[in-house]
Amino acid sequence: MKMKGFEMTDHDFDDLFAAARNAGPVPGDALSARVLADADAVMAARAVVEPVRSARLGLWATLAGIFGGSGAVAGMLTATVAGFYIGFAQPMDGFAVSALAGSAVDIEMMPGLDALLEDAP
Amino acid sequence: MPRDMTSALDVLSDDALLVLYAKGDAEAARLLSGRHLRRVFGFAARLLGDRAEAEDVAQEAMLRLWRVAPDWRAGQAQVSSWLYRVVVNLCTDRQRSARRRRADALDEVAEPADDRADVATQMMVRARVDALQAALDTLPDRQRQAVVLRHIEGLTNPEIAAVMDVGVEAVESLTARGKRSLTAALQGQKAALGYEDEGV
Repeated sequence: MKMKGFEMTDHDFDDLFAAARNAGPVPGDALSARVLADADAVMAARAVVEPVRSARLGLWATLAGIFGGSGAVAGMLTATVAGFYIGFAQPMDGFAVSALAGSAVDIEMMPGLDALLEDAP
Repeated sequence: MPRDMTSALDVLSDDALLVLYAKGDAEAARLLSGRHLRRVFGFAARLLGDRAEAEDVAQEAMLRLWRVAPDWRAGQAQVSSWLYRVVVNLCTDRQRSARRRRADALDEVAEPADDRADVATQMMVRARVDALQAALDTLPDRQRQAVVLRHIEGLTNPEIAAVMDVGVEAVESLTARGKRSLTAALQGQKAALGYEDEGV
């Protein structure tokens, strides 16, 4: 059951909310100091990390500059790895060039050349 | 930093100050804190009803702002809206893990001094603010967030929708239900709070 005369109106609420807004909680000095200390700490931590990161980036950037870009550096690394593999890998078992001996195959490099030479004056 | 330089920074936008802070300007952090800490703390206090917890939330929210500064994209969001959202999430986490215990912590809240207001007026204002906070404490979390953002922080419904990650219609529903709940919670206190009965 509503008791109209005892119920807060929109106007009452507007006034109530305004009072709450104006009397809003104020952060104490200690909280402000903690927040600023956090800001300084985060900034200091970032200052330590950034030079290390930029030094790493600098080395990479130098290599990329020498070889013509990061793609070229990646290609060089791939070729290096492939070269090591080819150099150290063992040949296939049982494979030898001598195995081809005795199984010569006649290959006619210029078909019809003999007939041409025979017909020549 | 010289005082004139501080005042020069004061005209910069929040986005610009975050960039300066990310590049190592401590004064930019001081200005950002000055602009936002009171709002962040006040919002957290109204949601939690506990000053100590509100301080922790406000500090954590500002800490997240400091950490995100290097990756902040200008124009992507307003710093104030971003902070409101962080506070909502932090408060929700706290309220989920431990249902609130509201003591009279907000009694310690400092108020702006006003020499012109007499003691009776100040007491009435305090009674109203306390009654409102007590009524807010009875609301479900989401209703309380929506009501505070709408009626005390003064955000628009689309802004609240962005902060709470819901649709505008949901915000309208939450604020309407919240207002009805507040009306019910304050039923019978109208005269005690100094509001005159109408039509009686």
